[in-house]
Amino acid sequence: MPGLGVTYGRGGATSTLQDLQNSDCIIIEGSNMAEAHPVGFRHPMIAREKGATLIHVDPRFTRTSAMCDIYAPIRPGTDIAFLGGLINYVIENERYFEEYVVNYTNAATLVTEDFEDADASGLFSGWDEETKSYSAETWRYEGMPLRHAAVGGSQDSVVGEAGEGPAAEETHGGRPRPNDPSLQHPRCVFQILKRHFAKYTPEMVERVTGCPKEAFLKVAETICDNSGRDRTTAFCYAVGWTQHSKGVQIIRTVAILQLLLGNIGRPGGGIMALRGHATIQGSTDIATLYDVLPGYLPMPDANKTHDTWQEYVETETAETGWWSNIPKYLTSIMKAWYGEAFDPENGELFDHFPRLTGDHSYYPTLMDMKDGKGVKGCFVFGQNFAVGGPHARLARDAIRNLDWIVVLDAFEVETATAWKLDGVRPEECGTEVFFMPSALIAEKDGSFTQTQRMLQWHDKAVEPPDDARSDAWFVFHLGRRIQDLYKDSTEPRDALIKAMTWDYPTEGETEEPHIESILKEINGYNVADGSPVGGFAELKADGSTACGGWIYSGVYAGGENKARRRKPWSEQDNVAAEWGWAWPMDRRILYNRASADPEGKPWSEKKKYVWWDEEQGKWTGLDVPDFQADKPPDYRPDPDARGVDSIPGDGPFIMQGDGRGWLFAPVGLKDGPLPVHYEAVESPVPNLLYEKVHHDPVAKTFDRPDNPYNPPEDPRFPYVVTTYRLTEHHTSGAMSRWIPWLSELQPELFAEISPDLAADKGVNNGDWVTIETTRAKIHCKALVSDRIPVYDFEGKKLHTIGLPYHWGPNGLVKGDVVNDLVPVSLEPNVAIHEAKAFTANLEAGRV
Amino acid sequence: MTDVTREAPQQRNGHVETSHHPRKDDRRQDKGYYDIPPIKEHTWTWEVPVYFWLGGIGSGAHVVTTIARMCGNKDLAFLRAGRYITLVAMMLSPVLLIMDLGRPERFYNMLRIVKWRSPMSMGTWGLTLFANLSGLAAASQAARDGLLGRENFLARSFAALPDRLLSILAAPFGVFVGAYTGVLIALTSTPIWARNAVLMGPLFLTSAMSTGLSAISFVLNLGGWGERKTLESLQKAERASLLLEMGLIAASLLRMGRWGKPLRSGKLGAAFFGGTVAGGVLAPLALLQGRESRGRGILASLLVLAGGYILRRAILEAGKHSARDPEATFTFAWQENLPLRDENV
Amino acid sequence: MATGFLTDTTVCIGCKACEVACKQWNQLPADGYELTGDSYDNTKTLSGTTWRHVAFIENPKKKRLTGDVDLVALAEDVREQLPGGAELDALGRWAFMSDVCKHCVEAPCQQACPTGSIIRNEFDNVFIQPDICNGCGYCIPACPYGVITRVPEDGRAFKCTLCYDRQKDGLEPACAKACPTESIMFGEVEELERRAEQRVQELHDRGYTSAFVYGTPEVGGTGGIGGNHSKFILMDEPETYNLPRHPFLPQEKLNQASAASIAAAAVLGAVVAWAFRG
Ligand SMILES: Nc1nc2c(c(=O)[nH]1)N[C@H]1C(S)=C(S)[C@@H](COP(=O)(O)OP(=O)(O)OC[C@H]3O[C@@H](n4cnc5c(=O)[nH]c(N)nc54)[C@H](O)[C@@H]3O)O[C@H]1N2
Ligand SMILES: Nc1nc2c(c(=O)[nH]1)N[C@H]1C(S)=C(S)[C@@H](COP(=O)(O)OP(=O)(O)OC[C@H]3O[C@@H](n4cnc5c(=O)[nH]c(N)nc54)[C@H](O)[C@@H]3O)O[C@H]1N2
Ligand code: SF4
Ligand code: SF4
Ligand code: SF4
Ligand code: SF4
Ligand code: SF4
Ligand SMILES: [Mo]
Repeated sequence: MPGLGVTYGRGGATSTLQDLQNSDCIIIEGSNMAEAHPVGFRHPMIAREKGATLIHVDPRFTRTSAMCDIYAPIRPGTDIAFLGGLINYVIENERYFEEYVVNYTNAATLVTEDFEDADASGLFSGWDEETKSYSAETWRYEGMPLRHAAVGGSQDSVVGEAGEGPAAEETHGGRPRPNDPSLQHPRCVFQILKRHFAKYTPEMVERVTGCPKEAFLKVAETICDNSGRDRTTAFCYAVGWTQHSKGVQIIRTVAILQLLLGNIGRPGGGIMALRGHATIQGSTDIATLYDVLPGYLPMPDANKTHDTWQEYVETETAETGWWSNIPKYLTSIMKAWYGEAFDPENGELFDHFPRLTGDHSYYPTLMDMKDGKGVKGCFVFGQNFAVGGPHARLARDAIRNLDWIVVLDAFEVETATAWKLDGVRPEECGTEVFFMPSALIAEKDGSFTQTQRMLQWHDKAVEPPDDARSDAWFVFHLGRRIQDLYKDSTEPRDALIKAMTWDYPTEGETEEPHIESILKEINGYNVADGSPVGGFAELKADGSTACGGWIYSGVYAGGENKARRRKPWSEQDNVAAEWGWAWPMDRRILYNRASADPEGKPWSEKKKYVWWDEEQGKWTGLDVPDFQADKPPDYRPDPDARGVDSIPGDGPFIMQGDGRGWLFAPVGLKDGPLPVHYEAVESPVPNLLYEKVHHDPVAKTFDRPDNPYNPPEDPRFPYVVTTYRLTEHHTSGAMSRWIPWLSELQPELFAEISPDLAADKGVNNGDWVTIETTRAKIHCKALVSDRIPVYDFEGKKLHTIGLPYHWGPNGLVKGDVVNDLVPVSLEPNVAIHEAKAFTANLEAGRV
Repeated sequence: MTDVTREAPQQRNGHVETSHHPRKDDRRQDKGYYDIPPIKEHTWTWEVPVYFWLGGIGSGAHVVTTIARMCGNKDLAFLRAGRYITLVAMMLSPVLLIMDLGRPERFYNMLRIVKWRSPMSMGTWGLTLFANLSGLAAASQAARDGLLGRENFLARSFAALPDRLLSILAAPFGVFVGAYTGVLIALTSTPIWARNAVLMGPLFLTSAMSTGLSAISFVLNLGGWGERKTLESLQKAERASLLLEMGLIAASLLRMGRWGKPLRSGKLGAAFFGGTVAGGVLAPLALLQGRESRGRGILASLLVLAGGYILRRAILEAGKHSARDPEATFTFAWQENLPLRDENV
Repeated sequence: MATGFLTDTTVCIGCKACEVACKQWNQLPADGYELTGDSYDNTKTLSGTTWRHVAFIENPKKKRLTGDVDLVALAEDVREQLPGGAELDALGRWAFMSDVCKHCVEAPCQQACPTGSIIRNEFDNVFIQPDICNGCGYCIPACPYGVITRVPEDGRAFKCTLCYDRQKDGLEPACAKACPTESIMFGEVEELERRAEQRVQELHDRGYTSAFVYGTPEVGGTGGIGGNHSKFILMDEPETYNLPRHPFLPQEKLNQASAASIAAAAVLGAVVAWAFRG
């Protein structure tokens, strides 16, 4: 989540679900929280009862909207315009939390003279038309080299000369950092921001988003009234924001807005990133992303100076801020994985460690599969991308071009049956399919890291049936057998396999690996005696500690599985510190140093959370302070301070090199230091704000005959499709389409359309309709509903088609695959598909 | 902003149904939930109207013969016909009732309890007592008629039974069996039935009487049995009870008011008015005018019997229609508990 | 001690967790897979195999449940301006209501039942004893709220047991347990009555003067039923939720009906006696 990562330092929700109860206003935008997070939605409901105002900003009127005080409809894919409008409103009307902004954000910092805003051209300085990419060099702070500034992989070094500023009293990694606390200097971040968003006026918001000005202004007023010393506003989002070709920038926009309003690090504030699958947060933490190692450590890359262990560590170590600790984490992970065989002194074994050679993310790999380019086989653990993956037809074709596929699942999902779908003759499909029955959650021990970075342990309740085994069992025994096959190899390239520490104890007849011992390894331990470390502060770069995922370090401190703590909420305060365990170091609200003013005193009695206790000489409060516990508020770093010591006592964003929240991101993003409203790659309308650039210029598109795009403003595809979930089903439907109790609730795919569009097309409620893009065509019933607004765009009606995407050809209830319609057009930073806004045509009947 | 309203698209192509309230009839109040019935219709199958009819016949036949005897009628053929008809009806009735149960093998659970407020429970007991008492009377009759053989113990014992006493004892239960079926359906939440709660028992009882009378006169006429006087009395009684029945039907329809619509309209209305009102009451009344004649008597009896069946069948069917109509339930429940003026509020 | 439900529709989010939890706990079958096109409700109604049912009411005419006093002041026919001008009055309110057996104080189904299968158990809940029921079907038309049906495959009648089995083990009913917003409150009836009163007052104070309790002897549990042990907080007319406003206890008419029948018997007896006289 670089949107949050770049702005605040960590790619995770900044607060907790139950903390929403402390909010004075909750704005849910880019999520259908009541339907997709019904249990989490309990907390906004409690807040509502306590008097909070609930706002829903969504293209459709949903069950969430029904529960909210204010519903503001917006055309899919226009959130940056909406949020940019809010930023403009906040700045224009001077509603920002000045003390917070000046002290806790980089508002005062000056940016180099070379920086040019995107205004006229629609592109920032540093654009290379040839490579269609940006160089971040001109975005840097005045006089600052900025390296590895934020979470989520390494950034190229950007170095510059120290410049002159009006008040260069602050230092940053030993250099003076020119800034202007009066926020008046034309090149200070605040002024840049102000100019940048000046054209996002309420009128413009209405024109671009289709949201009536009155509704927009009401939202703006409400959030401003509910922010400041005494009040806090929280934002909740999910994939209604991420699944756009500019998803990261949408989140950047809200991150900026929340900084301006002073809502980060404070109770009832924050940005609640609602994550999807039960442990989707966990799966990125420990680590399914191809380009990071557990704990968001950078994956070695052949194109970077990562040739040797020493080079790798040096390149990735930041001068200032938290990431200066990286050698400890890198060494500890190598020790956890290779034990004795890894010696940090010479780091020899690292030479055999795999390196990235390019973009190995999902879609390029899928296309390589389909094109027969080197991908011969595929393991699928708990995924059903034959239905759930955008452009699913392409995915199914790709599967059918593999030599083999191993699918571990509890249901006979489409991914495992691609060989007999789409009218393919099974005898013509050469893919060998291994379908392994997997144990489901109640049948195994383990943990979930849920949406608020909290690990919760689950114990096995029953044995898995028959041959079903846990995924851990499969991987563990696969690893064992591979190691056994290679045990006599003398090839240097096999050194890693041989060195791998793969000796977890097993349990029971089926030899299930003991999951808690894996957790213990992730927590980290002292190599000498195997005793668990108390947290990542104890990790060392000398090889005396091992740790499989530094951000989780502390979960097993003192030998106690803290993820298993289950003291009921009714028996403790609202922070519920004794339930589960949250990374990092059990901090529930991140950046909570910001809940106190620069002097360390609570902003207000009502919103007190973490504060400086003068007597004890340490930070204290309701939560674990997300700050060096004994660093006084008035601490100012020496010019030669390095690492965390370079963060001042009033710099709450400790992961950032300057300890500040970044209104302006000098580094870290591929599509600009400030968010810009772009249309979706497939959009029926032009970009009113930046005429020259229609959609995100760095969005990843794939021009292939099997992935054609509906050109912008193509009259053949006049409608906007947005896809989403229903409470009654789960994602690709794999876990719900086989269950009668869920299937009866939503038995069939439908398209939600407005009565207006229905009238145009002569469609009645319940009639068949056909929906078509250049990629595919699907049939389903129409649900004609006033809940689907009709948007006005420059005097023309713009219709939206809403499609839940839960159906496929297998299961008790079947339906066409919505994802066959979806283009592969990806967000440049995180390669997420654009399933929330694309174009299509709709006709009555099954044509 | 344009001023497109929700009505606009509807006007354009005449009808756009939406996912909320697909209103079929615009004049109707926008009440209820997608036209889904708020109450459930009964699930009784063909056995139940047949039983209602047979039970009524048995009840009527027994009561008539008992009263006639008390009034001094000595016609043996008449007595036999009455007793045997009752016997047959009372032997078939429980079979039908058990067949209709969801769990027939558990029919005896009806007999584990007596519930004053449950017409079905009371009905079960009433039926049991009536069937046994009238059955004993019939058995005694059969023994005397030599149908059970001559010299066996069974025949002798049955013959020794106080048949008159048994008949008299059975009579109130016979009346009960004739009436309770009406009360049973009346004491439900089905608007058309409940609305007519007071008259439902009398109506069914009267129909039990008329069908019982008709069954006897049919048998006597068919076999050429029975004394002339008996036949005349039968005709008289039939006429009178048919007149009463007509009155009760009319009163019931009046009482049912708007909730009686299922019985007045559609195929069901046709069956009811054709089969019961015209065919089962008015026509036999006409046929039974003037001098008693065998042919007309037989025809009249058949019509009354058929009409009696159609009456029950139609009323049960109407109950389903009534339960299916949300508006009937809402308006009825509303009105039943409030002074009438409230309807206009 | 009498236990029951208070289902507060003003906080129901329509997730149907209660419906599913009930089916799962009680191992009830699905009722078929048909898209009704009625909002998001495809299970339609309570039955012998659906003991909790969540209704989806798209109520175009009504203002939304919001904390927004301005909207309230606008009174009944609030129409919401939407972009593109589409003035979508359906957005008025989308309400959800989790329906269930009312556990009547004087339960018509219980009075009707000839086998004594339907009893009031030790929690004063109306409970069908499945080992007694013989499927006579009389409770079905007796219930004024359309709760019971006979399950064809089984032959018996079923409805909410108020999770008798769970209560006996000291657990709350499955539906209440699953409800994420505490829309379904389970507890002692007196306590629930108190909470209902308090909640309605709260809503009134916030400007939602249409809020009321359904299931009292005044509304919903009327006509001799004497109230319901599972009550609801509603915002619209009962009929909007497919509930009768003034249902009645059918057995209340027993005396009248019996008297009339006795009278009719007397008349008929007299008629027959007259015909056979002498
Ligand atoms: N019942 C249920 N719960 C689930 C899941 C499920 O499948 N079923 N899936 C889980 C998973 S994996 C995830 S990722 C989460 C996702 O959780 P959500 O993101 O909350 O779910 P979605 O339904 O995908 O989309 C949310 C909303 O985004 C809106 N939307 C579409 N385009 C835009 C836009 O441009 N701007 C704005 N502001 N809104 C837009 C849609 O109308 C929709 O209401 O849910 C999780 N929870
Ligand atoms: N159009 C459109 N497409 C989308 C989205 C959208 O909003 N719109 N959302 C996207 C999002 S956010 C997501 S997360 C994806 C989800 O897409 P997928 O992850 O592909 O879909 P799921 O159905 O969640 O697949 C999970 C599988 O895991 C299996 N499973 C469950 N537990 C276990 C276990 O313990 N072990 C194993 N081995 N298997 C298990 C389940 O049976 C199921 O088959 O869909 C994406 N696709
Ligand atoms: S499915 Fe699980 S994670 Fe999702 S809302 Fe329900 S309980 Fe929570
Ligand atoms: S609601 Fe119906 S089923 Fe429930 S107790 Fe009352 S009468 Fe019986
Ligand atoms: S169907 Fe069962 S529960 Fe209902 S009345 Fe008959 S015996 Fe009682
Ligand atoms: S109390 Fe139990 S049986 Fe009744 S609706 Fe709730 S879960 Fe179902
Ligand atoms: S579980 Fe609760 S919130 Fe969900 S539908 Fe049922 S009553 Fe409503
Ligand atoms: Mo997801």
